[in-house]
Formats: sequence, structure tokens, C-alpha cells
Amino acid sequence: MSAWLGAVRLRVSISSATMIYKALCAGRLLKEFYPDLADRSSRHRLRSSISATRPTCCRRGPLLSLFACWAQRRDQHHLGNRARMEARAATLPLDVYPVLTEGGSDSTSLDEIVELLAHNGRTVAEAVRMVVPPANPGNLSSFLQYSGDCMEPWDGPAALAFTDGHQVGAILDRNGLRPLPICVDDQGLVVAGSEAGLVDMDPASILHSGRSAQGK
Amino acid sequence: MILADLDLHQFFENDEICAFSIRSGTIRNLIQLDTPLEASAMRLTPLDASELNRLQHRFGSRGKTCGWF
Repeated sequence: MSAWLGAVRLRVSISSATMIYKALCAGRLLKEFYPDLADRSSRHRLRSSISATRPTCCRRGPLLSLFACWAQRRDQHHLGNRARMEARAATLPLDVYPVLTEGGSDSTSLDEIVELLAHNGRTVAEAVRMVVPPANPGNLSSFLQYSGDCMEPWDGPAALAFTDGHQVGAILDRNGLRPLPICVDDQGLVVAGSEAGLVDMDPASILHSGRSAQGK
Repeated sequence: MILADLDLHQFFENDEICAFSIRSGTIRNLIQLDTPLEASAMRLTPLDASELNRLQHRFGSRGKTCGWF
């Protein structure tokens, strides 16, 4: 679903698998902003959240549009990827136009590409792996060989979290610009963020902790 | 990359997701959609720098070199 605000297209996810909540407030206040999040009768298979300080978003209203399956940190130049994709767009059916929102941020562009790939025969994890291949893959698998011919690696957002309601994952960008510490506790809670200590966890309950490498 | 698949109730890490995609046949199906390349009989000559620059001018920009946009 999309709507136009002046000359800017705002995209909102109306999916049967995911529901997106977004607010300009501290993460701990989200359940007060959306009371149904605090409702114990609500049931969900997963919750994925992103909390970020985004001064650019605050200044630029259209960037507040909701990402369909993407949460991200950090902006970088991604004009080369956009130019290549716009050149490639000539080979795509007209009904997927425009592939990229004009003036969209790096995270918006990446979200649109992942959504395009994920809606055309790939899982969201495969789509993410296509656009963010490992920096040093060692032995190239047939998946990476094939996808490397289809799509160049995308630069832009650093620590990435994604979900389509069926799969949920996190990955670090190819340049490793941010650390991505990961903790898994004995209750199945997985915490991955750009800083360690985002969530208070009992050290005795931690089954695994570590950090992700570039593109992994 | 860490990945939890809620439909399969499985947890994947790094290259496991690639291996899973290969096993599930997704890649094989995509490769079958490929059109194999054939060698062209056309003899190509190297472009000089000015012609190459002209062809690449504003490559990919909107409404300038490509009618699609």
C-alpha cells in the first residue's frame, strides 16, 4: 500500500504476516504509545524492534515512512548501487515501477530491493544474502556464485535486522563499520545490536555470546 | 548472518542459509530460467576514450539517456 504526500510516495506495509509499529519516542515508551503491545492477550510469533537516533529522519518527514521488512542503522553513500539498479530496471516489467523511490535514503533503497527480490521467488534471507554477500566468502557456494551474477553487493546500512513474519534475522554489512554483538539466552531470546548491553540479561542465562564478522 | 525460520523451526548461521537454499532447490529453479549465452559472430573493436565517455555520460540517470524513466 502506498500514499502520496505531495510529490513523495509513502509506503506502508499492510501485510498478513507482519505488523509494523513506529513512533518518534524512546523504545521503552512504545507500549504506552501503542497500548496493544502491552496487552497480554495479544499473541505473536516474533517481535523485531529497532531503536535509533535519526536526526536526518526528524528533519525529513518522508523518511518516516515505514520500511516493509527492514530495520537499519547508519547512512552511507549508495548512489552507485542506485544507478546500477536504475539501469537494470529497464529489463523489469513496468508494473514494478518505480523500483526505487526518488530521493530515497540508502535504507529505503535497500528495503525496496530486498522487497522486490523477496516477492519474486526468493526468501527474505536469500534476498538479504544476495545484496549483502560475505566480504571474504572463502569457497564460493553455488548460491553466492549465482547471485553474484545477478546483483552487485549493496553498500549503505551497517547493522541490519530484517523479518517478513516467517523469517527473522540480522547481519552485519560487508565493511564491518559497526560491531554487531549477539547474545542468546536459555529462553530463546536473541539480542543483536550495535552496542553490547542493550538489554539487561542474567549472565547465568546466556548460552552464547559473540559478535558478527563483516557480511556475516 | 543469523536467521530464525519460524515455519521450519530452525536456526541458521552464516553459510548455512546458502546451503539450505541450495538444498531446497531454489537456486536450481532460478538457473533453469536462465538463457544461456552464445558466442557472437560480431567482431568488436575497442572504443576510444572519448566515445566511451560519451556512452557513459549520465548513465542510469532519469529521463536523460533512457526512455524507460
